[in-house]
Amino acid sequence: MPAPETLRIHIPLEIRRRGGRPRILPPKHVEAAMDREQDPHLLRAIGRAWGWRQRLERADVATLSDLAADEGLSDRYVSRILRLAWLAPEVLERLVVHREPSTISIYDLCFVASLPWDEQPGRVFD
Amino acid sequence: MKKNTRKSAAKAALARQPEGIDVLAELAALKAMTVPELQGKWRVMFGEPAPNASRGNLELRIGYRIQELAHGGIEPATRRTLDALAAEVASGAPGPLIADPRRPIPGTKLVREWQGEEHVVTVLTEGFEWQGLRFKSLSAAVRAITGSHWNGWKFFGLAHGAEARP
Repeated sequence: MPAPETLRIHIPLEIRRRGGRPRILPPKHVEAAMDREQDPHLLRAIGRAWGWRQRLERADVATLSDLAADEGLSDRYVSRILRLAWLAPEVLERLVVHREPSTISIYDLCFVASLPWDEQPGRVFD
Repeated sequence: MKKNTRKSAAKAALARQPEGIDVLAELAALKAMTVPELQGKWRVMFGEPAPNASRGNLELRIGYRIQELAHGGIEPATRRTLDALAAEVASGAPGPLIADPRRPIPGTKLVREWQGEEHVVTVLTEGFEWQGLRFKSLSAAVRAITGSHWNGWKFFGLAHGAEARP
Protein backbone atom coordinates (compact mmCIF):
# COMPACT_ATOMS: atom_id res chain seq x y z
CA MET A 1 0.00 0.00 0.00
CA PRO A 2 1.68 3.23 -1.16
CA ALA A 3 2.08 6.03 1.31
CA PRO A 4 -0.02 9.09 0.53
CA GLU A 5 1.99 11.74 -1.25
CA THR A 6 0.61 14.66 0.60
CA LEU A 7 0.19 15.01 4.23
CA ARG A 8 -2.50 17.40 5.34
CA ILE A 9 -2.17 19.14 8.60
CA HIS A 10 -4.85 21.51 9.75
CA ILE A 11 -3.82 24.32 12.02
CA PRO A 12 -6.55 26.52 13.37
CA LEU A 13 -5.54 30.05 12.59
CA GLU A 14 -7.00 33.28 13.72
CA ILE A 15 -5.91 36.43 12.00
CA ARG A 16 -5.26 39.21 14.41
CA ARG A 17 -5.28 42.67 13.02
CA ARG A 18 -2.46 45.03 13.84
CA GLY A 19 -2.08 43.72 17.38
CA GLY A 20 -4.15 46.49 18.93
CA ARG A 21 -1.83 49.15 17.64
CA PRO A 22 -3.39 52.60 17.78
CA ARG A 23 -3.85 54.61 14.65
CA ILE A 24 -4.51 58.29 14.15
CA LEU A 25 -6.51 59.47 11.16
CA PRO A 26 -6.45 63.19 10.48
CA PRO A 27 -9.61 64.82 9.13
CA LYS A 28 -9.53 64.59 5.33
CA HIS A 29 -9.02 68.26 4.61
CA VAL A 30 -6.03 68.76 6.91
CA GLU A 31 -3.68 65.94 6.07
CA ALA A 32 -1.02 68.33 4.80
CA ALA A 33 -1.05 70.40 7.95
CA MET A 34 -1.03 67.44 10.33
CA ASP A 35 2.54 67.53 11.55
CA ARG A 36 2.64 71.29 11.97
CA GLU A 37 1.75 73.01 15.19
CA GLN A 38 0.19 76.43 15.27
CA ASP A 39 2.18 79.17 16.97
CA PRO A 40 0.64 79.49 20.46
CA HIS A 41 1.18 83.27 20.43
CA LEU A 42 -0.85 83.56 17.27
CA LEU A 43 -3.64 81.40 18.70
CA ARG A 44 -3.64 83.47 21.87
CA ALA A 45 -3.81 86.75 19.93
CA ILE A 46 -6.67 85.50 17.76
CA GLY A 47 -8.52 84.14 20.80
CA ARG A 48 -8.13 87.46 22.55
CA ALA A 49 -9.33 89.41 19.50
CA TRP A 50 -12.31 87.08 19.08
CA GLY A 51 -13.25 87.55 22.74
CA TRP A 52 -13.14 91.32 22.27
CA ARG A 53 -15.25 91.07 19.12
CA GLN A 54 -17.84 89.12 21.13
CA ARG A 55 -17.86 91.78 23.85
CA LEU A 56 -18.44 94.52 21.27
CA GLU A 57 -21.13 92.54 19.45
CA ARG A 58 -23.16 91.82 22.54
CA ALA A 59 -22.71 95.49 23.53
CA ASP A 60 -20.94 94.51 26.73
CA VAL A 61 -18.66 97.48 25.99
CA ALA A 62 -19.86 100.28 23.73
CA THR A 63 -16.69 101.51 22.12
CA LEU A 64 -13.18 100.49 21.44
CA SER A 65 -11.87 103.03 23.97
CA ASP A 66 -14.13 101.56 26.65
CA LEU A 67 -12.82 98.13 25.78
CA ALA A 68 -9.20 99.30 25.98
CA ALA A 69 -9.82 101.05 29.30
CA ASP A 70 -11.53 97.94 30.66
CA GLU A 71 -8.63 95.72 29.62
CA GLY A 72 -6.06 98.24 30.85
CA LEU A 73 -4.44 98.40 27.41
CA SER A 74 -3.80 101.22 24.98
CA ASP A 75 -6.37 102.10 22.33
CA ARG A 76 -3.81 101.64 19.62
CA TYR A 77 -2.90 98.15 20.73
CA VAL A 78 -6.50 97.02 21.16
CA SER A 79 -7.60 98.38 17.79
CA ARG A 80 -4.67 96.69 16.06
CA ILE A 81 -5.09 93.24 17.65
CA LEU A 82 -8.87 93.46 17.30
CA ARG A 83 -8.47 93.47 13.51
CA LEU A 84 -7.52 89.78 13.74
CA ALA A 85 -11.14 88.97 14.58
CA TRP A 86 -12.23 90.48 11.26
CA LEU A 87 -9.85 88.52 9.07
CA ALA A 88 -11.55 86.73 6.17
CA PRO A 89 -13.43 83.62 7.42
CA GLU A 90 -11.28 81.38 5.23
CA VAL A 91 -8.09 82.73 6.81
CA LEU A 92 -9.38 82.29 10.36
CA GLU A 93 -10.53 78.76 9.57
CA ARG A 94 -7.16 77.79 8.12
CA LEU A 95 -5.25 79.31 11.04
CA VAL A 96 -7.40 78.11 13.91
CA VAL A 97 -9.10 74.91 12.74
CA HIS A 98 -6.60 73.52 10.24
CA ARG A 99 -3.67 75.08 12.06
CA GLU A 100 -1.83 76.09 8.93
CA PRO A 101 1.16 78.23 9.78
CA SER A 102 1.18 81.87 8.75
CA THR A 103 4.21 83.05 6.84
CA ILE A 104 3.92 86.60 8.20
CA SER A 105 4.22 88.09 11.69
CA ILE A 106 1.25 88.68 13.98
CA TYR A 107 1.85 92.41 13.55
CA ASP A 108 1.54 92.21 9.76
CA LEU A 109 -1.37 89.79 10.03
CA CYS A 110 -3.42 92.48 11.80
CA PHE A 111 -3.28 94.67 8.70
CA VAL A 112 -4.20 91.88 6.28
CA ALA A 113 -7.79 92.26 7.52
CA SER A 114 -8.07 95.45 5.44
CA LEU A 115 -7.45 93.60 2.19
CA PRO A 116 -10.37 92.19 0.17
CA TRP A 117 -11.12 88.62 1.30
CA ASP A 118 -9.92 87.11 -1.97
CA GLU A 119 -6.43 88.48 -1.48
CA GLN A 120 -6.00 87.54 2.15
CA PRO A 121 -5.10 83.81 1.93
CA GLY A 122 -2.31 84.57 -0.54
CA ARG A 123 -0.79 87.10 1.83
CA VAL A 124 -0.99 84.92 4.91
CA PHE A 125 -0.05 81.46 3.68
CA ASP A 126 2.12 81.85 0.56
CA MET B 1 3.22 98.05 -4.94
CA LYS B 2 0.31 97.12 -2.75
CA LYS B 3 -2.01 99.04 -5.03
CA ASN B 4 -0.98 97.15 -8.15
CA THR B 5 -1.52 93.72 -6.64
CA ARG B 6 -4.85 94.90 -5.35
CA LYS B 7 -5.95 96.02 -8.81
CA SER B 8 -4.99 92.86 -10.66
CA ALA B 9 -6.56 90.66 -7.99
CA ALA B 10 -9.61 92.88 -8.15
CA LYS B 11 -10.05 92.12 -11.83
CA ALA B 12 -9.69 88.41 -11.24
CA ALA B 13 -12.26 88.55 -8.44
CA LEU B 14 -14.72 90.48 -10.59
CA ALA B 15 -14.58 87.75 -13.21
CA ARG B 16 -15.46 85.23 -10.48
CA GLN B 17 -18.44 87.19 -9.18
CA PRO B 18 -21.53 85.26 -10.27
CA GLU B 19 -24.27 87.03 -8.32
CA GLY B 20 -23.58 90.40 -9.86
CA ILE B 21 -22.73 92.00 -6.52
CA ASP B 22 -19.77 94.18 -7.29
CA VAL B 23 -18.03 93.74 -3.96
CA LEU B 24 -14.76 95.29 -5.01
CA ALA B 25 -16.42 98.39 -6.40
CA GLU B 26 -18.26 98.76 -3.09
CA LEU B 27 -15.01 98.36 -1.16
CA ALA B 28 -13.32 100.92 -3.38
CA ALA B 29 -16.23 103.31 -2.81
CA LEU B 30 -15.63 103.10 0.96
CA LYS B 31 -12.11 104.40 0.44
CA ALA B 32 -13.46 107.49 -1.30
CA MET B 33 -16.00 108.28 1.44
CA THR B 34 -15.53 110.89 4.14
CA VAL B 35 -15.85 109.81 7.75
CA PRO B 36 -19.41 111.26 8.09
CA GLU B 37 -20.36 109.38 4.91
CA LEU B 38 -18.92 106.19 6.36
CA GLN B 39 -20.93 106.77 9.53
CA GLY B 40 -24.05 107.17 7.38
CA LYS B 41 -23.24 103.94 5.55
CA TRP B 42 -22.80 102.22 8.92
CA ARG B 43 -26.25 103.31 9.98
CA VAL B 44 -27.70 101.86 6.78
CA MET B 45 -25.87 98.54 7.07
CA PHE B 46 -26.14 97.91 10.81
CA GLY B 47 -29.30 99.85 11.64
CA GLU B 48 -27.63 101.74 14.46
CA PRO B 49 -25.30 104.73 14.82
CA ALA B 50 -21.61 104.18 14.18
CA PRO B 51 -19.68 103.43 17.39
CA ASN B 52 -16.87 105.89 16.70
CA ALA B 53 -15.26 108.07 14.09
CA SER B 54 -12.20 105.96 13.42
CA ARG B 55 -11.83 105.73 9.66
CA GLY B 56 -9.84 102.47 9.88
CA ASN B 57 -12.41 100.77 12.08
CA LEU B 58 -15.42 101.97 10.05
CA GLU B 59 -13.87 100.91 6.76
CA LEU B 60 -12.84 97.51 8.11
CA ARG B 61 -16.20 96.67 9.65
CA ILE B 62 -18.38 97.96 6.80
CA GLY B 63 -16.10 96.23 4.27
CA TYR B 64 -16.40 93.01 6.27
CA ARG B 65 -20.19 93.24 6.30
CA ILE B 66 -20.31 93.84 2.53
CA GLN B 67 -18.19 90.76 1.89
CA GLU B 68 -20.08 88.70 4.47
CA LEU B 69 -23.34 89.42 2.65
CA ALA B 70 -21.78 88.52 -0.71
CA HIS B 71 -19.65 85.49 0.20
CA GLY B 72 -21.18 84.24 3.45
CA GLY B 73 -19.74 84.45 6.95
CA ILE B 74 -17.83 82.20 9.27
CA GLU B 75 -18.64 78.47 9.28
CA PRO B 76 -20.30 77.28 12.52
CA ALA B 77 -17.43 74.88 13.22
CA THR B 78 -14.87 77.68 12.92
CA ARG B 79 -17.01 79.90 15.13
CA ARG B 80 -17.16 77.21 17.79
CA THR B 81 -13.39 76.79 17.71
CA LEU B 82 -12.92 80.56 17.99
CA ASP B 83 -15.41 80.75 20.87
CA ALA B 84 -13.54 77.99 22.70
CA LEU B 85 -10.24 79.71 22.00
CA ALA B 86 -11.55 83.05 23.30
CA ALA B 87 -12.86 81.38 26.46
CA GLU B 88 -9.52 79.72 26.98
CA VAL B 89 -7.62 82.99 26.62
CA ALA B 90 -10.08 84.78 28.92
CA SER B 91 -9.70 82.12 31.60
CA GLY B 92 -6.03 83.03 31.87
CA ALA B 93 -5.01 79.41 32.29
CA PRO B 94 -3.36 77.44 29.54
CA GLY B 95 -6.07 75.25 28.07
CA PRO B 96 -6.20 72.34 25.68
CA LEU B 97 -6.42 74.36 22.47
CA ILE B 98 -3.33 76.46 22.97
CA ALA B 99 -1.17 74.67 25.44
CA ASP B 100 -1.61 70.93 25.01
CA PRO B 101 0.62 69.83 22.18
CA ARG B 102 -0.63 66.27 22.57
CA ARG B 103 -4.09 67.28 21.55
CA PRO B 104 -4.82 66.69 17.87
CA ILE B 105 -6.95 69.19 15.99
CA PRO B 106 -10.75 68.77 16.15
CA GLY B 107 -12.07 66.23 13.65
CA THR B 108 -9.14 63.87 14.08
CA LYS B 109 -10.17 60.24 14.46
CA LEU B 110 -8.24 58.11 16.92
CA VAL B 111 -8.53 54.44 16.08
CA ARG B 112 -7.49 51.62 18.34
CA GLU B 113 -8.30 47.96 18.42
CA TRP B 114 -9.30 46.78 21.84
CA GLN B 115 -10.14 43.12 22.59
CA GLY B 116 -10.78 42.35 18.95
CA GLU B 117 -12.97 45.36 18.29
CA GLU B 118 -12.02 48.55 16.54
CA HIS B 119 -12.88 51.71 18.46
CA VAL B 120 -12.95 55.16 16.92
CA VAL B 121 -12.83 58.27 19.07
CA THR B 122 -13.30 61.63 17.36
CA VAL B 123 -11.57 64.72 18.72
CA LEU B 124 -14.10 67.53 19.18
CA THR B 125 -13.42 71.21 19.76
CA GLU B 126 -14.21 70.55 23.38
CA GLY B 127 -13.96 66.97 24.47
CA PHE B 128 -14.17 63.69 22.62
CA GLU B 129 -16.85 61.57 21.00
CA TRP B 130 -17.17 57.78 21.02
CA GLN B 131 -20.27 55.99 19.71
CA GLY B 132 -22.34 59.15 19.97
CA LEU B 133 -21.32 59.84 23.56
CA ARG B 134 -19.38 62.94 24.52
CA PHE B 135 -16.54 62.89 27.00
CA LYS B 136 -14.68 65.77 28.59
CA SER B 137 -11.37 63.96 28.59
CA LEU B 138 -9.81 61.30 26.46
CA SER B 139 -9.26 59.19 29.56
CA ALA B 140 -13.01 59.24 30.26
CA ALA B 141 -13.69 58.01 26.73
CA VAL B 142 -11.13 55.24 27.13
CA ARG B 143 -12.66 54.24 30.46
CA ALA B 144 -15.99 53.81 28.67
CA ILE B 145 -14.33 51.64 26.04
CA THR B 146 -12.20 49.45 28.27
CA GLY B 147 -14.07 49.58 31.56
CA SER B 148 -10.86 50.34 33.40
CA HIS B 149 -8.79 53.40 33.99
CA TRP B 150 -6.20 54.30 31.41
CA ASN B 151 -4.34 57.42 30.52
CA GLY B 152 -6.22 58.28 27.33
CA TRP B 153 -3.17 59.81 25.66
CA LYS B 154 -1.16 56.65 26.29
CA PHE B 155 -3.97 54.38 25.10
CA PHE B 156 -3.91 56.13 21.74
CA GLY B 157 -0.15 56.54 21.62
CA LEU B 158 -0.36 60.32 21.94
CA ALA B 159 1.57 60.79 25.18
CA HIS B 160 4.84 62.69 25.07
CA GLY B 161 7.61 60.52 23.71
CA ALA B 162 5.06 57.91 22.76
CA GLU B 163 6.13 57.60 19.13
CA ALA B 164 8.19 54.51 19.85
CA ARG B 165 5.40 52.70 21.69
CA PRO B 166 3.66 49.97 19.75
